[in-house]
Amino acid sequence: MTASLKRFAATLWQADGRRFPAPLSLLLVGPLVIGLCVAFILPVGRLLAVSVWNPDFTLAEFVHITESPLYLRILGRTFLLGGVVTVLTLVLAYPVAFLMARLSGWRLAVATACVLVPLWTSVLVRSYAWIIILQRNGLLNSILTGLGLTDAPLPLLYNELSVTIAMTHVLLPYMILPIWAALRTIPRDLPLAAQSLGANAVRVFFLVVLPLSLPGVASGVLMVFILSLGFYVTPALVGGPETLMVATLIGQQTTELLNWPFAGALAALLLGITLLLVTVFNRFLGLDKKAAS
Amino acid sequence: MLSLRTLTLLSVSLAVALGSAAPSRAQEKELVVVATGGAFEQALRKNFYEPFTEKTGIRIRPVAASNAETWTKVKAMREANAIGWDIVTAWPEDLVAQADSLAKLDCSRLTNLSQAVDGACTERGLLRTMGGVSIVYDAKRFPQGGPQTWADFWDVKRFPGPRAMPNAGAPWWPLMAALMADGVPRDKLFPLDLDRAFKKLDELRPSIAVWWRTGDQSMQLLRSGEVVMAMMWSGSGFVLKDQGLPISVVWNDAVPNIGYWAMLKGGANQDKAYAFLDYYLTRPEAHLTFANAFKYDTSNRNMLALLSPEDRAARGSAPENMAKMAVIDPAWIAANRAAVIERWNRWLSR
Repeated sequence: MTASLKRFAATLWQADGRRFPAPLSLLLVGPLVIGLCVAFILPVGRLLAVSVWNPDFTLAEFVHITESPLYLRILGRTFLLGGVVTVLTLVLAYPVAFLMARLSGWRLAVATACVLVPLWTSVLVRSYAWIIILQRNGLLNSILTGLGLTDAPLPLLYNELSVTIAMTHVLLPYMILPIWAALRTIPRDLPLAAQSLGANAVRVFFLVVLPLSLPGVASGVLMVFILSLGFYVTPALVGGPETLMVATLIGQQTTELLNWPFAGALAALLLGITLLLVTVFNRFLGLDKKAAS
Repeated sequence: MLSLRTLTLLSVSLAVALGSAAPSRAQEKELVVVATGGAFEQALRKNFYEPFTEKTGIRIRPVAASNAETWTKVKAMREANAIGWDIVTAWPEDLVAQADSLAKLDCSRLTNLSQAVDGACTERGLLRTMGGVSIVYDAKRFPQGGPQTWADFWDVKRFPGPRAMPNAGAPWWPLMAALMADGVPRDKLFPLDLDRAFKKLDELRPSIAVWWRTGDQSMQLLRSGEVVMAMMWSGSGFVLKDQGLPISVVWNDAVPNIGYWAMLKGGANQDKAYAFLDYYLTRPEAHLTFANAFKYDTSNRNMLALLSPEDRAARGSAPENMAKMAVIDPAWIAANRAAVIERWNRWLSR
């Protein structure tokens, strides 16, 4: 994962040869590292620790998770939804990134703004926008009934469909940007060379462009998938009872029931499975790259 | 252009300056009062906090926290042994579940208690606001008269149309409604017969279009016509009515929704906290302004007398309406909360 992230970072930064001296770099990174330790690693570590030491070593919380049919089912559903959203964003993002990589000047500026402005808009606002579009008397239903395509308003909101749509929309920029960054760095000579050797456009894409953009795809897939696992606001706003996600359950245990050991156990399980999936994914991607080279 | 060195120096000195300018903690005469924030707190501030400060010189620092946040932070404060708050907002079940964190109230120190409704001072909480979780319906859809009982709410033939129910962290509300719909008298609901309640909810589930999570969402559902009736906070219903919508709020069989002021154990300002609670009981006009703005009545006994008879009849704190509400058992809820929520999640996420 770090390798692809590094490549992603390298593609974002147009290194111009100037470098900060080492002490200054440390000084600049220092506050972030300290902040991360104090505000993130320490409390998360404590929450995870309290799931097994309470006050002595115990696996009771994990046993409780496996004994109730609720938690594993919700975990499974969270990963499934994460997977579906990742695939959907990939399918939608790749053509956009591909187009953006060919643009320049004001066209590129407009396209970039179209991707970035939603990213900077609050998730709350974007989720509410989907409520207005999808609700019973909303935009989409008015159009459908107005055109006579449906007799009664369709149930579009407060179900798995609306959560999938809204999450895909919210997460789309996280997929577009790394793919675009990867596509942009492909030297223009390579597709030209392939063409001059007789490859048609389809072959050029599948044999040259697509393999070279895979690091960007991998970064995007990882980012979108991991972000989707922790989604909280969107499912709460546009989802229904069947879209209960594990983040909501963890929140409930933390703030409503004050059962921090159990919240820690759920969080540990989510973290563990995520790390496992990411490792497996990375292994496969590594194999892919070897096969390609 | 600035050199990097100068820039670094500048930013460091700026950080130091900002750090030293930060306000020092816990002003001497300050009382920290926790409520749920937003416009509700603005009104508390205007009608109670500010006049109190004017009269006594005791400053109040309002802190906004949801019910869940409140107890999460209280727990963290207790673990760190640093209680930074004095008065918090508590629901009835909190008074039992969080009893360890709350100071016992000495009701005899509240000299104005006679101005409050009977039973306002309990062992660990002083009655603050009163409302209900009620049947709220769109009267336009039911010109012949809308649902008046939970049995009506369940009767999708006589009162057709999609409904909404709460999924807002307190599953005992819909469970109580289900039991009442199934014929259990409103004062004999506890201990909740969960099997029976869930079975009754199964019946209505296909007609429940939305399980709302926030008060704002429940209001939007009726406003947009997404549902024709909802089990929701009475205050939200009255706000819709104020906005000119043809909305009816039913007090009959409503689940009481009561807020208390509670004092944290180990707070440094207990005398000032008592002074504020005592002051809160006075001045019916302020209570009326507050209640008119937020549609939740308060514990002031004399407030109702300021209203016209018609106005009075719609109020949650009117004795005839209070008599029609269901009876809850906070101790049972506190003891069974985790299990009920787990079963609720399981049922709802099927």
